[in-house]
Amino acid sequence: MIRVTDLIKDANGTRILRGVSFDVAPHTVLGVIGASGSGKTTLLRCLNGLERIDGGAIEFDSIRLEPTLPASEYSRRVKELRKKVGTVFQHLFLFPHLTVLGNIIEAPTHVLRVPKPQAENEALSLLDSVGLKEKARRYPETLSGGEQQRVAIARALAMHPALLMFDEPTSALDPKRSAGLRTLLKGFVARGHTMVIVSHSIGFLEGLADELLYMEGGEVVESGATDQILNSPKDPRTQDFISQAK
Amino acid sequence: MDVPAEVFYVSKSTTLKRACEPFFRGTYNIGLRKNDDALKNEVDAGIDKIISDGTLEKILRKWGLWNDAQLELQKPKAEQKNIDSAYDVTSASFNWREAVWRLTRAAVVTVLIAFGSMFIALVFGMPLAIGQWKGPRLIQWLCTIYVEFFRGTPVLVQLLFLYFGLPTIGLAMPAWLTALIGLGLNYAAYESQVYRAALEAIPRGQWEASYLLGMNPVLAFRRIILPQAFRIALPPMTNDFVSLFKDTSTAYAISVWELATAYRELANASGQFLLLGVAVSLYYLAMSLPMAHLARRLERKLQRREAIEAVESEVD
Ligand SMILES: Nc1ncnc2c1ncn2[C@@H]1O[C@H](COP(=O)(O)OP(=O)(O)O)[C@@H](O)[C@H]1O
Ligand SMILES: [Mg+2]
Repeated sequence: MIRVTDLIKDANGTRILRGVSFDVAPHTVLGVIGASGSGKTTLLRCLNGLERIDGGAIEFDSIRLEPTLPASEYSRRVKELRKKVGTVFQHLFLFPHLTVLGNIIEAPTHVLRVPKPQAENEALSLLDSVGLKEKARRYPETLSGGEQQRVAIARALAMHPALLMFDEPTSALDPKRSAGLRTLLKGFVARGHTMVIVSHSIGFLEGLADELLYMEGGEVVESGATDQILNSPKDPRTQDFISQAK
Repeated sequence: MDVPAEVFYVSKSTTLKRACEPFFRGTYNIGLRKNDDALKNEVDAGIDKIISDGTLEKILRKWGLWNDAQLELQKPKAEQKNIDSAYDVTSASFNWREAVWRLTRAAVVTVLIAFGSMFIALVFGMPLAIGQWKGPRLIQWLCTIYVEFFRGTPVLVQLLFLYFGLPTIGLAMPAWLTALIGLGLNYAAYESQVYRAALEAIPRGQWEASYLLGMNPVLAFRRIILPQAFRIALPPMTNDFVSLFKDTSTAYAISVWELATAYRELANASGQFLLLGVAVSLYYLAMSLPMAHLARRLERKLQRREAIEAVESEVD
């Protein structure tokens, strides 16, 4: 479904991504692990078009992004891409002036032009699925970090993305809440969602991600089935990271 | 100006025209030594004589100064209508009801100018802010010049320029409109900075989150950024409105009948500088205090919100 080939990203003269390649098959979960500063966030920002790529290519179904495209064509394709990709940032960036429900229906009603009652019904069933139906009329600032995160997930899902991406979803959660989120995401995967999850928490990805990709210094050191990466990593750098994380 | 002066200058001038019909009646007086009744009677008799034999009318007609008002003045005193003099508030017979009525009218003018110019400032401040913030280099540059000009020169001088300077290039406006537009243009410069600061205070992530949900920049601005920026801008905007409200007093320089002008004119005529000063201050306070109170309440509300956010970001 998504294929990344030799992806290169430069910023201010330094190369942040140095030729990253991987595939994500439909209905699977890819976990991206790596130390802080290894380029994980930048990778996600390239995948959702917030950063323009400087080399290689991103293919999502029939949409292809490559650095040689003229700016207008690139941004046209990014718009197409964004219809298929939902992102939950590390800092969630909920809209503070809108209620929980308002956050979720904002894009469906104004971008997809879904009639408001229909969008609200859909939003309420999404909130139900993340366990927040009772808080639909609250403002984000009155919710806990974990609740806010689930609002952000519902907001992304309301646009029916084919791929859902998470950046460090457990960074603001205690272990119990992390486990809750993991259960929630597993439920979505069981219903056929495809995900890319960036996390430095291996425990969170274990049993959730089908494949893992270990990054260091803007490069993919090793990738493969989750079991294989966690239990018998080939590269010594991966071994180091895994043993330290465990 | 006085009608005789108007007749003399304006009728011969190619560049002057009369602004309107005479709106206020004045009289000429002859000063005499006190108690010199003999001379007074003689002068009165002389005037009565030229009135009754028509000499005065002839003279006035010769100079083009005759009008119906003269006829009325020449009637015996008893028959004269009680002439409602606009400035009949002399210290001898200070008419408080008249003064309060005039102050109230002036207060209404003050309020209208304040609201009118705030409207201009709020509307025109937005393109200025966006131009300076995101516009092409040239537009940014022009907006900055505008802002620095209006913030860097006294508003009083700006009003004088608009009122006396612009007519020389054929752009004359009534004084009240000049004050309204002048203060509006001036405060637009300040409001643009309030807007710009508020817009810049919105985290970039808000834009990015909007884009990722498929919004275009216009939709993201209108639905996501602007409402948040508005909340930030509201308290300083209210404060500016209170200042603008007080700055309407600069319209005094171009003789708009607002509170400051009313104070000067009524106090000059009556000598009641102290009492009128208190009255005028009360008028200003009655209008500005509620607004200042509102501004403080908005500010407190916003601070509470920021406190909540600060606590939450520490929890993260
Ligand atoms: N806009 C940028 N300009 C310059 N350097 C950047 C920029 N964004 C990220 N970087 C650098 O790129 C590296 C990777 O950052 P990031 O993708 O955030 O890593 P991760 O999410 O894995 O912690 C870091 O060293 C960071 O300092
Ligand atoms: Mg990161």
